[in-house]
Amino acid sequence: MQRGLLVFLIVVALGIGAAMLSRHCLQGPPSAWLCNQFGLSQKQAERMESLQSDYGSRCGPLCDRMCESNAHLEKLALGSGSVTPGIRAAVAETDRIRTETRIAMLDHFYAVAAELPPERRKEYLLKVLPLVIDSCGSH
Amino acid sequence: MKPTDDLSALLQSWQPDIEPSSGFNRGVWSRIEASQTRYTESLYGLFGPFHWVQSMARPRIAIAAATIALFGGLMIGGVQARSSQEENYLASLNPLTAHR
Repeated sequence: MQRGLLVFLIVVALGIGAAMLSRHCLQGPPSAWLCNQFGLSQKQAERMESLQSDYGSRCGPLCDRMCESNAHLEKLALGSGSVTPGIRAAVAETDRIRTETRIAMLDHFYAVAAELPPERRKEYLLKVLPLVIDSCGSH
Repeated sequence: MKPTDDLSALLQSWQPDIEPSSGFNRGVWSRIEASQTRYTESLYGLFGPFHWVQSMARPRIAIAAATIALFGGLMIGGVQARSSQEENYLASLNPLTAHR
């Protein structure tokens, strides 16, 4: 009985381990989805990796600035009882950085779409545009 | 008188001269209950969880179960990896989640 239970537990652990290993190995980089979804060649996949890397290096500083401006706005808002000129400026600054980030994102989306087969570019844009365009829920 | 009539008359006139012992009925019922319990236990042993656990100790069954678990795990992991790729890609595009 005890031996059977031990073997059973080992078998269960083996199954879980195999699933985790398989998931880890097959997940791949973020652009792996593009390659699978749009049937890209090896050369196109490398180009996507490069675009993704460039995008990361562009968006990293923007993200840092956005976090800093949000923290600054929060500090001002908590220390005030009304909308002061400083708060107005801080809100405008967060919006400016957000706009800059959205433009960088759109730029990247178009660069990726240009590498995809022409008939599938719209399909890609429909997937990624909600990241920069807020839906009003009525359309 | 026919022979069948003789037999009927004889059976009607017969009185058993051996009385059953006082625990006869109890003994019969306990034997019936014991046989039913054995039947239930054998069914439980065949289909109950402990039967499966016990059978895992057999090398052939253990190897078969390990093989099924291995391939099943690989397949499930592969399907999960595929389904999470889109989510990972979209997360990598969002600056606030990608650079945390």
